[in-house]
Amino acid sequence: MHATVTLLGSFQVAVGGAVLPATGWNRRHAASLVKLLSLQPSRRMHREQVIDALWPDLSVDEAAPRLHKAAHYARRALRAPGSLVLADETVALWPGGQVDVDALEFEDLARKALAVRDPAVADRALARYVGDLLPHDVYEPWLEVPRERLRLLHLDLLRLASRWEELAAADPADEEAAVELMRSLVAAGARRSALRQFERLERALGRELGVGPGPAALALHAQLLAAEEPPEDVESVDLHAPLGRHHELAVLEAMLDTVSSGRGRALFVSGRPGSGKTTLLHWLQDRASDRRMRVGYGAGGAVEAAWPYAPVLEALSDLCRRHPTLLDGLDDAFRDEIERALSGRRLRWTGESSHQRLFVAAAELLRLAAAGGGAVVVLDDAHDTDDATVRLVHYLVRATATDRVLIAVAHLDAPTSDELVRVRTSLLAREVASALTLAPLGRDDTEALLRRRVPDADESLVERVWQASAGVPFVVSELGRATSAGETMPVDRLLLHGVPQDVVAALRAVAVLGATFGTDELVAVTGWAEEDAYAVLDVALATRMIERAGPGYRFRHAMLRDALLDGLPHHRVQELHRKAADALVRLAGSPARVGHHLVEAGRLSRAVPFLLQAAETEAALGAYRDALARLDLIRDRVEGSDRSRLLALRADLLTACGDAAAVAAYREALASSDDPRLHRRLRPRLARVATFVGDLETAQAALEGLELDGSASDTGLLLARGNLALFQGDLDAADEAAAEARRRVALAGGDDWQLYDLIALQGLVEHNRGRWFERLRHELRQGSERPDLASSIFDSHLCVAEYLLYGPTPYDEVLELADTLRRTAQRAGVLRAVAFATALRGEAALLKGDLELAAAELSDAADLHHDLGSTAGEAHSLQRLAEVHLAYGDRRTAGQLLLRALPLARWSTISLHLLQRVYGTMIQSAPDPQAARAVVDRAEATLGTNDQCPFCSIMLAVPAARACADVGDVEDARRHLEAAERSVVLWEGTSWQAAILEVRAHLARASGDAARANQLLDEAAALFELSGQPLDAGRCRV
Amino acid sequence: MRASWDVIIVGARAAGAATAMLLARAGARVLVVDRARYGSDTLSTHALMRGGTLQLHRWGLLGRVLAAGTPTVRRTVFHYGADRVPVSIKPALGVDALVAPRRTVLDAALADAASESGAVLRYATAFDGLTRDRDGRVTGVVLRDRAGSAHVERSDLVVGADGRASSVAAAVEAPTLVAGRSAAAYVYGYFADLPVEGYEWFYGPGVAAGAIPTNGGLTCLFGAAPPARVAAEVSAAGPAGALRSLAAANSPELLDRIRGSRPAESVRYVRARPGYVRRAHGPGWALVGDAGSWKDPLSTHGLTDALRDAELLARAVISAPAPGTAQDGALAAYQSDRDRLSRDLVGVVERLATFAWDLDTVRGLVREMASAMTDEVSELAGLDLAAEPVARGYDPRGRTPLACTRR
Repeated sequence: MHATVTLLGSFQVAVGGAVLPATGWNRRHAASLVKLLSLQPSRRMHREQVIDALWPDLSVDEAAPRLHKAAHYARRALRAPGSLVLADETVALWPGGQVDVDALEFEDLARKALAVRDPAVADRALARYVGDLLPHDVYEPWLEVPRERLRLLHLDLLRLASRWEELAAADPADEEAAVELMRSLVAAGARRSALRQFERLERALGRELGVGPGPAALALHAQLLAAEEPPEDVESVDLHAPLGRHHELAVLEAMLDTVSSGRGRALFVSGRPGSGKTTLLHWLQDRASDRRMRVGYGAGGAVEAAWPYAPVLEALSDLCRRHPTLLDGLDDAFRDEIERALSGRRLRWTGESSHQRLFVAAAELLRLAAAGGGAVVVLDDAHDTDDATVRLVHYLVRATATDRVLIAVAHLDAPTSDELVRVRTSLLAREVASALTLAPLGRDDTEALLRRRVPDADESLVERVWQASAGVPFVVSELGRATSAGETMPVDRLLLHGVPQDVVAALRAVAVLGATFGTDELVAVTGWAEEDAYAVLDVALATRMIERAGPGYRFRHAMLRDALLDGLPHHRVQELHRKAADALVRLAGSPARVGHHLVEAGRLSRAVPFLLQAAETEAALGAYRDALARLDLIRDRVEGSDRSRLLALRADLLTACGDAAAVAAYREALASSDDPRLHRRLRPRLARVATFVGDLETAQAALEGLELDGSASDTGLLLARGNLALFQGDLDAADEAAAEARRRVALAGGDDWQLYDLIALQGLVEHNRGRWFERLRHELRQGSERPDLASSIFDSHLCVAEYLLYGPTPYDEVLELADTLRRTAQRAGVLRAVAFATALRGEAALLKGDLELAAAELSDAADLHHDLGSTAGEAHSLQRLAEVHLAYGDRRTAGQLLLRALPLARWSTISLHLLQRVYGTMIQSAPDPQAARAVVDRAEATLGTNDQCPFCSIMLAVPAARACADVGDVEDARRHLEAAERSVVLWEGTSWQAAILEVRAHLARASGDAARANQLLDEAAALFELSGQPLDAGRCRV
Repeated sequence: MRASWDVIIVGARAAGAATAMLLARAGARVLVVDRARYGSDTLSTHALMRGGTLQLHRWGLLGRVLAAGTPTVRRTVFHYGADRVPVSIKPALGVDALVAPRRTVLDAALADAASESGAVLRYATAFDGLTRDRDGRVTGVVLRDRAGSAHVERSDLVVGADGRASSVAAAVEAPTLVAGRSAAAYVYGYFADLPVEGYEWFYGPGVAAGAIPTNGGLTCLFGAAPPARVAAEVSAAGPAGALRSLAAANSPELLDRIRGSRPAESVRYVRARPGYVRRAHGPGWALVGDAGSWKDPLSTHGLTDALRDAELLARAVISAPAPGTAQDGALAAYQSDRDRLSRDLVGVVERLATFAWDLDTVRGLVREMASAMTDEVSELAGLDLAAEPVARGYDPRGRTPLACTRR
């Protein structure tokens, strides 16, 4: 028997010269088993090694039957009973047979070539490397090491054989290859091609923080540029301080002073196009550098539909390029997270854990940069960024409020996104930001600016320019430039004047890509011969349409780019986008970019697979709302397996946002496919969300027929079962499921994000049995210092928080616990858990009566949750913040906050718990007793009678009963009191007992029994005091 | 009459030998004397930060140090209580790994390089005083050999590179510009089979420790705490017991590693000494290395400082070799550069050595330390471009270029 196994470039098995059909390998584990054994020179492995590789989540006992099954199907595919043998604890492929494996042969020959340093042998080995190892098995962890090993061998061989072009293509970041290639291009007189090679190197290196081309490449690059003709107009107005901006410059100086003294600030600079925002920011950067502050620059719209957070990442990357050794102080986990986002690579998201480390990583890098003299981050053209970027900016400004950080944001007056307006308003209101609006220049300044270009301008020219430019600095400057070249023309023709038509056509083609582009992109979108494209660059540089920037070029001004595209008929613009998409596909551009251009080209169906990949990447980076918006673009266009993939992703995203629409979304996803694996994955998730929103029937149906299968997903299934049983009142079943889940979590080891789910479930079970779950406090305390645990506690654990707040734990201890939790989560980089802990602190401070602390923490928590797209957490924080303002006596602000909280709460996964609080607080913030009574009616109409959390109903029942009593509606007051009394049973030993007494007092007063009322109020006050809630006690004493 | 030497350097360890090497490379006639013998060991934390490693690289000495079997360090791990923060050392500014050579390796490499460049090194020769002219300007040194006989060597400039207890600094009565107030006490030793991931720094409540991989497969391990605590631990359990106890207070896991290792040398106890910054120059004299400034070893930055200041001083002297206003100005600039580059770090170490921090605060201090080192490295890397003074050559009479006359 003679078999050959192909593992390089693709997977194929041939026996006796006949290729076995690919359909035989449909069973993944059977194929994996053959691939794994083929990679062993002996073609045999110990049984446990095989299990570790293929079923890492299972115990040996659990995996054994799967191994047997896989072996069975492998034999069937190989069409020989003795082809795969399990005996004596080993697994062997064709023992005794002759098997040739291409990957092993390549490796053998490659090592020989490298040992003898023989380029000829290297060439022979290279001929065998027809592709990477099993390139289609992208997500098999056991393949990563051998694949990388062979890939590196391949690169070493290319180097040994001096095949620089191939080496540079295989690894664009290989500096030696790039330099050698550049040298040979220079020697051949291909200067532009050499520059293009440098661009590729610089772009590839730019994906790592703090890395740029080395001295040899830089020297060669400088030499190439020195040989270039300077542009016709070398004078740069940027060398001067901006004209007519005395006030603005003084403001910037003052801000730098403030920041240097240790207070973080944001600055918003706005104005119309050409008003000098960028010039002002460049001046700011120079001033900051003079003060030994570290500077980073990024711009929106540099690349249309770039990866999420691109401008901020670009600024951080710029900062690190200038100060590469700063990274000697940055946690690898944070560095990896930023580089992951920066890479532009496609990322996967399992939908299960919601670790959003990027925000915290970016803040930590900023703090590090600012630790000396301070740091200034400039974000230009912010009107042209995604919402995710704006939310990240919002977070960074707040996170660095006590560091020497200035974040300067420039944007057009209009149009701006709602998100940018919201963030700007929020930061200005917090008084951590300032705003500057750049007005047009006055006549004198216009004249002075013109004279920089045309020193001998006569009065009539000054007047004409003043009239034509309306004092817009860029236009003044361009008019001056034209005049000094001896030309006059109307403003609308000024910008593209003197640029040949074919150059305009080529620049149009790249203008749709963004404000920046590379030579490769220009060649690809125009489809022109290299030489013609190079000629375009020469002319465009000479006429100053473009300038060099980073790895490539950028339009010298946004108005120039706009001038290229403005006025083009729609079908031409669509055509440009189509060509851009095609070019980016050829260049292996990011799915987001390709998808964006296809959408703009009106090719929605073609855009689908790209946008799906882009949404997954966004999700992996925590930009949930952006991913959802992307999916909604194509939701109606998708069919087949893409459809179920899209719907599943959408449902997971909605869950991640805490949006109650997740229930319907999971249903839709499940209805779209019969794939049992998809059902197995999604049904426990549907059950979990449905249970939270109180739809127990759906939850029950989702879990029916699902059995434990020994896989890692069992814990999720058990938790879903447990939660459902709890809400169905079956405490024994809930307890049993929780105990089994705990056993499995313990088996799985430390890194399990489901532990808090489990703690919450066990806490709820105990609570339902009328016992305080002492273990909760203990485990929270222990877990609060473990990053893996602290980072898994989210807003869905609201009830856990309530036990702490209303239970016997003193508030100072809760504050301290929450603080530890927050710090641990912060270090782990999990912002969602930070937000949760912040809200918990705010609540504890509120109940303790420390209103100032409560207001600060809850405002912060609301913002954090908003930036993360976490509806539930935001609603909850706003509701509590409203309580703070009520305690201050500011009903109006409280009312406004509740109006913001209400819609968020309604559509959140925890609406069942939240709505009752929101309405409860609305009752208290009503301007008079009648209005309060009206809110009770609205609450009842909205909530219905059945879909209420038995624990949380007290939060509405107590204020409702009080409001009814206060207007003399004794009957309804009694009804609500009864509801509260039913709920309070679950809150044994907490301050809710005091609240019940207070309601009874109001009822007694409504019934005319003032003495009884006073007595009850005294008792309530005493109980509130005992619980450490002075504000409530004070209210009863009054 | 022209002096026999352009520069006499007292102290042939890291700062002295590096200064001598750079001056000799520029053509100066340099005499270096040291009380100790060639290749002897001395108390050190060994760890070179990126700035120190960069200096060895720029001077062409990194290869020698590596050839002596010095392990490369590609990762720093910070332990804050149970929390572990790994930071990779990625290639940047020509340095792709750090090194922590034993002083027997580092000092010998620098001394050899100085000697190869034409400097004359005399060991087992003690500094016994200064000679001055009638204006009080230093004109040379009185030296005493092992047999006890004294003789005078003349020079336009005497550099004190003789460490913390500098006799030169004492003889010139160099004023103390900054006197530190806080200081840690230490116990440290060398262990075989003590695995480390790179440099590992530990911070616990009121304690700190460090593990540094150095030559011979050994790891240098130190424990630090406020003086009273270390003194009590040492008196209760001896230095080795104190080290174990301090290690355990930082991290039980570190104690486990010690238990699995073999002590290679006896553990030593180092009493606390607050940091200081002395005036670095005067008529005919200058100070470099620990003789001029010293900070608590918690920063493990002393050697990096020494290699930095050696170059700053050498450049100043080369740029203005003849006594006079120009040299005074150049030496004043040397001092102000030294102080500017040290200031942030001195402040941080002062706070670190108080141990009055919790684990959150200490993270902020470590961040400040990393930031300060970034400025320093950038500045040192920038010196490459401005290497002209060293290349141009040394001319004690101010003529350029000078045909070097080496002895």
